[in-house]
Amino acid sequence: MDHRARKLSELVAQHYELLYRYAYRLTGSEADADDLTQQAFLTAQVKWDQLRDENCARSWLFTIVRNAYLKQLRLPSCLPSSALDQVAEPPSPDELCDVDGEQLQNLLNDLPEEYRSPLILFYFEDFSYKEIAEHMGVPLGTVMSRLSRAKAWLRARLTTPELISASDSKMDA
Amino acid sequence: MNERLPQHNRADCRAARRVLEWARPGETEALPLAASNRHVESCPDCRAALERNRQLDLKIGRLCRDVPLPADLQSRLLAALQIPSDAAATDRVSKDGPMSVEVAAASVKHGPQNRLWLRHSVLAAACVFVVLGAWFVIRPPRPTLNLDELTAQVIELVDPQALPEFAVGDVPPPPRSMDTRFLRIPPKRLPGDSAALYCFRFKTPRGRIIEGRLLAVPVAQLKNAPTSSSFLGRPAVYLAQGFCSSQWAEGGYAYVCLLKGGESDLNRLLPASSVAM
Ligand SMILES: [Zn+2]
Repeated sequence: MDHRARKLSELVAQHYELLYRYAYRLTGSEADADDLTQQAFLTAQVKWDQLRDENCARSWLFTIVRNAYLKQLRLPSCLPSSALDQVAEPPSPDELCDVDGEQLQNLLNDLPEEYRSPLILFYFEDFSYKEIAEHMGVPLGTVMSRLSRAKAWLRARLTTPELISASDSKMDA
Repeated sequence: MNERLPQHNRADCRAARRVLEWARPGETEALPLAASNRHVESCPDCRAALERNRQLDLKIGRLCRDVPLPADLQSRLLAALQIPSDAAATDRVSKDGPMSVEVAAASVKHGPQNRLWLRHSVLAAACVFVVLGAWFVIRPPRPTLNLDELTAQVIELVDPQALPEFAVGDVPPPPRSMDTRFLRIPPKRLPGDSAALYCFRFKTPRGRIIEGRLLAVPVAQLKNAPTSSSFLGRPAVYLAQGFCSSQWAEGGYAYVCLLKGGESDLNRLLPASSVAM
């Protein structure tokens, strides 16, 4: 196995799990996550020479996945960003409703991508705020503000049973 | 309780919660933690709210990270990248549906082992050929071909050039939605003369030689015609032995284009994007 193949193989071993999970939470579809993950590594293989610092490989791969996802997005099918403006702190219930991964995914799907991506990375706990901001290509303050609103929005829904599957939780863009 | 606090205290609460909400291990340098901590120590409402949010985040985080991985994902990725993997030998593709087959590790064998493997493969190919031939001879008149089985058999044929040619009936034409400049004409006939196999070969801009096959079968003969109507109309599928494929139906024929490589190599066969040899 040549040097590049060995490095690529290491890259796959180190990152494919988290990358697939990110792609899945981003798209909400196993097939799309599979495809995006494959696409990311194939792109990495083709553009290997662009990777100057191997310490940046992870954020490079995540950026490839996000760009590929954004490229295939045609119509916004999620909430308009303004829908998050009115989010208040969660009401008194302290406990998460009885939710499963699919219901969480449905809520994530309702979020605009610029809120969904940082939120996913935040909950993965593997990314610093600075890394999330770099991944999104926005200033740290912007990412903090988006995270703040998205977290409040998600918490409010996950602690209020009628908001989890409410038909009006998805609004027109 | 909060309702009884004076206005400036509620503002303090909001500020302290915002700061402490962001405090994560290793990420506290830029935050005015001291003042916020002082406030929270004397404010039971903030303590309760922060603790509640922390617990919620822990649960949401667990739920968010809980994404089951396809069992064979790593080996499929390595196969797509054409990186030999011992793990790939025992890994089975299970989630891609009917197109999926076992990922083989044949490509990592060398020397005398390789020759032995070749002999076995030729024998296996001959058996496949005989079985295919017999099957086509006794086949019932109704559509019975299964595109996925045919594709798998084409992969098993070590050397498609060794296929006999059957000059009976119309030859399935090359598709329009794929760059067909590199197809060898005429195609080889598969036993039973309803399917044809084109071989092709081209060079990438970096000089890598890609070899592949294009299987063409009349849709009327198929039990399972593809749903896509153009080349790469749906995402490529990774098959055995490092093959990547696209299948679609066009002009009354079903096509399966497969090559040794990844989706990026298939993309080169989108019309007018390859470098001719
Ligand atoms: Zn307070």
